[in-house]
Amino acid sequence: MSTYIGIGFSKDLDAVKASQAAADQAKLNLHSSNIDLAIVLNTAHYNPSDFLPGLYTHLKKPKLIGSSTAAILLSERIETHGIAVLLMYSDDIRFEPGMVDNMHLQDLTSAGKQIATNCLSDYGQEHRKLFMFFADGLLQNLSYFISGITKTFSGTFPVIGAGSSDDFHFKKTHQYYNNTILASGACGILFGGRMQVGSSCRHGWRPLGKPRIINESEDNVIRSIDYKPAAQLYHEYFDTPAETLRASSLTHLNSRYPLGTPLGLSREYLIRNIINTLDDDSIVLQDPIAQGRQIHLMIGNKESCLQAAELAALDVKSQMQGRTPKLIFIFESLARYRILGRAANAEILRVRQILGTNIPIFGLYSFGEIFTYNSSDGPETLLQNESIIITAIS
Amino acid sequence: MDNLELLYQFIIIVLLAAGGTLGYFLYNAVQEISVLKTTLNKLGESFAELDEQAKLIVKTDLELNRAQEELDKRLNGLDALQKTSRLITTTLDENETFQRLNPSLLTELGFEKYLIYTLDENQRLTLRVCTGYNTSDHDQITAQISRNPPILEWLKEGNMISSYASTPELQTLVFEITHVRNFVLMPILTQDKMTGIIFAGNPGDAFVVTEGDTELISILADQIGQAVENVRLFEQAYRAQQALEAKVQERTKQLSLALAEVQAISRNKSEFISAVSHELRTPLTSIKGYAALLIAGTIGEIPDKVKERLEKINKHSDNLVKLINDLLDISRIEFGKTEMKLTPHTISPIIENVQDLLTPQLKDKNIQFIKNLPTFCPSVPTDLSQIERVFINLISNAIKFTPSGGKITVSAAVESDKITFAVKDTGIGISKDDIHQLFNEFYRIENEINQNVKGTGLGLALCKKIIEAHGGRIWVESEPVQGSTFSFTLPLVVKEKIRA
Repeated sequence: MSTYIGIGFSKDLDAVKASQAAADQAKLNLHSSNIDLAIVLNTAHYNPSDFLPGLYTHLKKPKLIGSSTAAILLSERIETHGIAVLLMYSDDIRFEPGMVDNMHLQDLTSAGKQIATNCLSDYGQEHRKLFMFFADGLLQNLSYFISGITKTFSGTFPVIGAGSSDDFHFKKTHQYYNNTILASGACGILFGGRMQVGSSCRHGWRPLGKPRIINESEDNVIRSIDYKPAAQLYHEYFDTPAETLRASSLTHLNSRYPLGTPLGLSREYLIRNIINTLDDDSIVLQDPIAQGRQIHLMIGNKESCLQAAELAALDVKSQMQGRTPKLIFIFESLARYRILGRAANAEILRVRQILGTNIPIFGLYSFGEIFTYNSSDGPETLLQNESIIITAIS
Repeated sequence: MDNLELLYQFIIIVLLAAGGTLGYFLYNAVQEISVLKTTLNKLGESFAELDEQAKLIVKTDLELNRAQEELDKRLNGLDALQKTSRLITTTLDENETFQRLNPSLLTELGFEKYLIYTLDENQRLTLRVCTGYNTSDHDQITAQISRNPPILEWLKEGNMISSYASTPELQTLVFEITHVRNFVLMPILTQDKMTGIIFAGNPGDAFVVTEGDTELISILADQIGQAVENVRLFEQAYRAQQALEAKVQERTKQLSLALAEVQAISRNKSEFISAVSHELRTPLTSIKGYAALLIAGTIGEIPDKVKERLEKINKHSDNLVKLINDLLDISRIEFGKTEMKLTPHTISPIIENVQDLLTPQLKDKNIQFIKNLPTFCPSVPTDLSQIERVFINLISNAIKFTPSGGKITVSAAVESDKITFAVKDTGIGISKDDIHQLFNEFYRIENEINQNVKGTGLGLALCKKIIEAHGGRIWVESEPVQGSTFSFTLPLVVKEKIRA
């Protein structure tokens, strides 16, 4: 009874060669001829139609999911150019993949239900332990999609997810399901069986200045804050004309100074990035914050980000109850990667120092992180921005 | 105090005046509201103050972050530049230089689109590196840059164009071609001449070009320029070397042909001498034989005067026979017809034999003959008769050119693999001009002694042939009036069968 894990990576400029070299390296590290699950990550330099069909065949058609990303997180390094392949085989863990395509053309709650149903269709009665998914990070209002997932699963196990990214171009992301490249889609894996899961999400941002109230909003568009056009908030703090903010600076500014709203009665905050500003100075978030909610401008720095990662790792460690993780997944906001800069590697090092330096790490930088919080009202799965999700399995 | 509050106070006064408890309670409530309002106002002021402080913090934080980002960017860029430098300076192939500038390395410099061109002698741009553009895009960009004199002239003057520091007009020109707003367009300069162009750009607004970016691209341009210049200098040097080698080969070929021609002429000459010598020797033998018969009186008594003349004929015939023999020997040795029969010989007896042979001449001129040979002198593989000829020649010459009362020393020095003999005299010496030609056939030094004493000019040439046929070497050291030393070596071990 055991679980085998193999990770491979290649930065060959040729997509086919890179994918197959990464797959071969992963197979070598797997120490098993059987493959239950393959997870593929590639940076935006590679066109998945060049490599995915060949890779799927090369791996002998396993259950496969994957995502594009701006950078790949591995145990020893962060790679901004390359393809990584994770292979798993286990007698103890059950894996069941699911997918949904063309989410931009359909009701997101239904899409969430569809992917969850898809995973459950062949799953059987095995105890469910974790649902992990990648969704198009350019989609807005993913909380509807998340609610579709959680309603369908109606369980207490954690749901974690990452918005697929494309290195700050915000143009096109990819998700993979077996040998299919999804258009504005999502793919996920339901894990179950004899396994232990520890998962935590932190961000390290703190409120700055006086609290504000959202007076008017509609889904993910905030029209006014404290009875003023929403973008005025940034104008006030940064003393920058609204036109300038709209033109270029806001995307840059807001990754360092996002908005935050308190999460229940805890001191935790739900972080929201601004993805656009409209002509009437309304601001567009990736996911909604309801009208009437209190919001803050948030501030953080490298050290607070590093501390947050440490706290998340410590949290995971305590959840593992003394068990040594076999694999660590990290989904981390791409904005944090920019903020951390050269300290990004130090963050991974701190995580390894807490959870074990020999444990393989596989992760990506995302546009939005999805995590299940335990509140007094029960588990609540939310989309966060600017956060790090660390998940360990054994 | 606002109107509402005045109204409340008026009602309270009326109610108090009416003596009611309600009035008293109302009075207290209004007082509490007033205190709360004051507190709320103070709280509002504190928030406002807090917000002002927050704005100050944001501004400071923003500056710090910008500085930190710039520092990070520069450190990353320097790392990447170090890598590129290591890669492009370790090749001496121009194509390889550009192939090594791969996209993953270049993107570490903070840009995702690159076009790197070189400029040929006809000022045509050749695309060497392309990252982030497809073929039709970069073809179009290349054509448009090539047709844009303002951009090219600006760059040729050593200036860059960037979204950080250039005029809006220049920025627009570049944007219209590349469709990238954040960019650096930098000339690659070698010895103040533009040899290429680097374009680095980011299409989105997320990465704004800073001064640090332009500096990094400038360093990259310098590195590429230096690498290309090194490659070209190497190619020039290599081509010059190739041309030189070709010339040397051509010259060597010409010299080989000339040498072969000279050798052929020499061979013809030797063959001619050999043939003539043979032809001369036969009648000479007859002449000598008949002269001997006449002198002996076999044919009949002859007058003394005739006898005297016949003896001269006989003597000159002997000289002629010796000359012909020497010529034939040289010819034979040259053509390998005379094989050196090398057998081990002790040198001392050879020298003693020669001394005995030449004792009359030594005595005639009262010349002291000294042998200075090592106590232990090893056997030397020699052809006895030939080596004797060498010693006879050298010692005869020494006697000839040493004035009466002089000294001749024959010495030997043994080394690990050879023995060196020296015949030293206290004679008239030899000038530098003569030394170089001394071993040539028929060369005779022009001096008084040679004018009076007849010789063939073949003795030293023959010695040289014999010594070389033994695998040794012969040379002379001399200065006029100081005497001469003729030295030659003989190997102590025969490496292979030596044939002349």
